[in-house]
Amino acid sequence: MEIAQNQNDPSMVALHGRFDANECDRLDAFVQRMREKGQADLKLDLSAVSFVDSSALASLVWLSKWATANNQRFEVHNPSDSVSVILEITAIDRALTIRNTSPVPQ
Amino acid sequence: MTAETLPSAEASSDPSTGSSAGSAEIGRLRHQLEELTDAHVLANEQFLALHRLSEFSSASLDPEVAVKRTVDEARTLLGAAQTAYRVGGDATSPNPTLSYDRGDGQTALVVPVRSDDQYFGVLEVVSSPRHRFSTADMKLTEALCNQLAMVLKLSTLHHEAIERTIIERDYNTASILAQAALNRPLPVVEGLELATFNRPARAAGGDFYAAARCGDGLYLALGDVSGKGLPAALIMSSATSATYSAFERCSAGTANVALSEIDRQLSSYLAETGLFITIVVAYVDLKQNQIQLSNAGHSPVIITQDGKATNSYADGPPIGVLEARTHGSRSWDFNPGDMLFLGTDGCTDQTNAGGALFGEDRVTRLIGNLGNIPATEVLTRLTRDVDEFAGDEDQIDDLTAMVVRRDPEGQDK
Repeated sequence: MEIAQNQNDPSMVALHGRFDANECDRLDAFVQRMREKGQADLKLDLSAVSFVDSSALASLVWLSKWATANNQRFEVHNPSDSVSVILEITAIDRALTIRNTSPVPQ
Repeated sequence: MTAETLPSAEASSDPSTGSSAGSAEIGRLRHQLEELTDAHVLANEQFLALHRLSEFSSASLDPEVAVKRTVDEARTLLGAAQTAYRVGGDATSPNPTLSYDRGDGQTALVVPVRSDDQYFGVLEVVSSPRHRFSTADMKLTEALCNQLAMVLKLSTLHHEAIERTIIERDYNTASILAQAALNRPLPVVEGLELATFNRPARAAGGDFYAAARCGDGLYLALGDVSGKGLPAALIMSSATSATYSAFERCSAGTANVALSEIDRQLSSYLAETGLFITIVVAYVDLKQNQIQLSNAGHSPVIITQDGKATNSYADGPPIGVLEARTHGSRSWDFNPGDMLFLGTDGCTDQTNAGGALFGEDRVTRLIGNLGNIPATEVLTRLTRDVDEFAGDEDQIDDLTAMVVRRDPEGQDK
């Protein structure tokens, strides 16, 4: 899975590929480095994610809880169709802030 | 000593000069002989020292033993006055073999002991005043250090292998204990056929199920802890206990109350771990011909009625996502011949070599097309189809399923 931070909007991070248990630690480390540099708000672009499993969903939930506990912002942007289906079936979409927006130029 | 150096008979026969010249020559030769003898003895000792170093046994894997042997044999091999091994030193320095004059006629060698990218320490050797170290001594010391590094590396690998074996053994034991939570016998209820299947993707998994009689009906639950492996299995064990506890506390026909009780028992624990559990609780009421479902984020949940399969979706997010809450429920008719299928994403998320998913639609079609076959056969067919789809691909997630079928008309006892 590729992880890319938007140069024009540092709070926007795009994931590309399969988001599963093997990738959760990488995303955690990436977000931690962002926080250490002072970037606490996080917008996760999932438009290019082809698959999420329960570990990935747990990562999203954990990011959301951390943001709430620390008065920061966490949003899921433009989830792909396959991700949207999973979020709806599990009703986790009711616990996240999900936005469908125009893409931010890199 | 050569023939040319031997004293000639003519020189020793001179009465005025021959005896003193001859004595000096004899003295010189004797000195040479002593030096040669010393050199021979030293060479023999060095040979024996090299032979000892080449001997290898399991005891020599002990780092302290290996270091002591090297230090002792270095002293013998090099004729050194002092030898010492020091842990630490400058690990970033290039591969130096330093030789410097200490100002008292002695020389010293400081050679790093390293293996590939692992640095262990340095061997320091100080020469005796009679023997200054040469280039050959430097090479010999390097060889000694390379051998010591090899032994220290082997020792490290040996201990790491032992630790891994211990961890693996403890992991397997913990997995067996965690999976034992699923070993309760299934209840028997007249008019119902109940079957379950569980196959973790690793030694232990986070899927669980529970079934208990309550009144004239039956409580069922099937759940999936997010994540995989032993961490999920440990939470699964707690979740199974909480589920059976809730079944005992709740009166018949209140699937949503049972789920709310499970949520209450587990929510704080889940908040600490950062994990969640998708779970569906069902109450099968034979008197009312109904099945009540309370679903927190779980799928697939499929009801077949008159041969038609319908998915029942979640009423809310999994437990652990939000704070403990009161859950809702839905009721379905459950008449003779009808079937309830509960599964986990181990079947829907299974991929094949081409990367395609087995998918929820495929599961629903399969369940809908099976007709009135026994509950155990439903599970056999499902797992067979999932395995055939996967081919040589590894099992991607824990696969668990539960089927309850109401006996067809006329067979109710």
